[in-house]
Amino acid sequence: MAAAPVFSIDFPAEADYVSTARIFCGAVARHYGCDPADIEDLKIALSEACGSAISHARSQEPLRVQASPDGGLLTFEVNGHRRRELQNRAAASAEDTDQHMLALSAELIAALFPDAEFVDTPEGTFFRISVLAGSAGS
Amino acid sequence: MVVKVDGEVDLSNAAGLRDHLIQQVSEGNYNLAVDLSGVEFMDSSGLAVLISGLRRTKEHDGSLVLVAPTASVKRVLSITGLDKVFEIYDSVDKASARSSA
Repeated sequence: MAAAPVFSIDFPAEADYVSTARIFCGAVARHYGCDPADIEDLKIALSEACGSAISHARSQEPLRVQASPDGGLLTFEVNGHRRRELQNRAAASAEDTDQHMLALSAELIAALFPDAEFVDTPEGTFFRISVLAGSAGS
Repeated sequence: MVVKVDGEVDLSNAAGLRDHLIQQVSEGNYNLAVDLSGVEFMDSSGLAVLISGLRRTKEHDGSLVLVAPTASVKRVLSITGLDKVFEIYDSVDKASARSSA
């Protein structure tokens, strides 16, 4: 029996590529027959996770988003490496906006995926969520 | 003043919307209606910009209201409780009628 495939995408840790990550995740989730409403929630959570990872990323290190089916679940992971500056996020937010965004981001992820795993370490950020797969891709 | 927003609002372009709202306020437009009928996706970066804009208009006794948010935007507004913070109207006409009342 063949091993379950793993899908991944590496891209520069820059805000311009977050939409590409959403498209990737949406396509994989549709392939595995996930509920359309779950896919929309997934895209929101992934966008938040990528935004957080980008704000902590080293400029030269790519961001990796990975999707892997396991049983009836489809699991998505975001891996980013830390850097000292907050260049990308600083460019997109300023003053109080940044604080609002951080709080809202955490609130959105927690509400959409209460079981989401989010680890922020000195080495980087790791994020994992799972959604129910349907029958289309199995 | 109506500000029409289209497409996806995320970390890559939220700063542009923020700058536009700041410019409107700096030009004396303290009553803003942000038309979200063409927004297909918005994450926390977009929401934060709207909150910032609301605060700036209120500093001048103005307001920032939202118009015709799509289902996707309604969802993030509801999850974060911002649907209770912003006045939301079905159409630009209704928002305009409110501001001129």
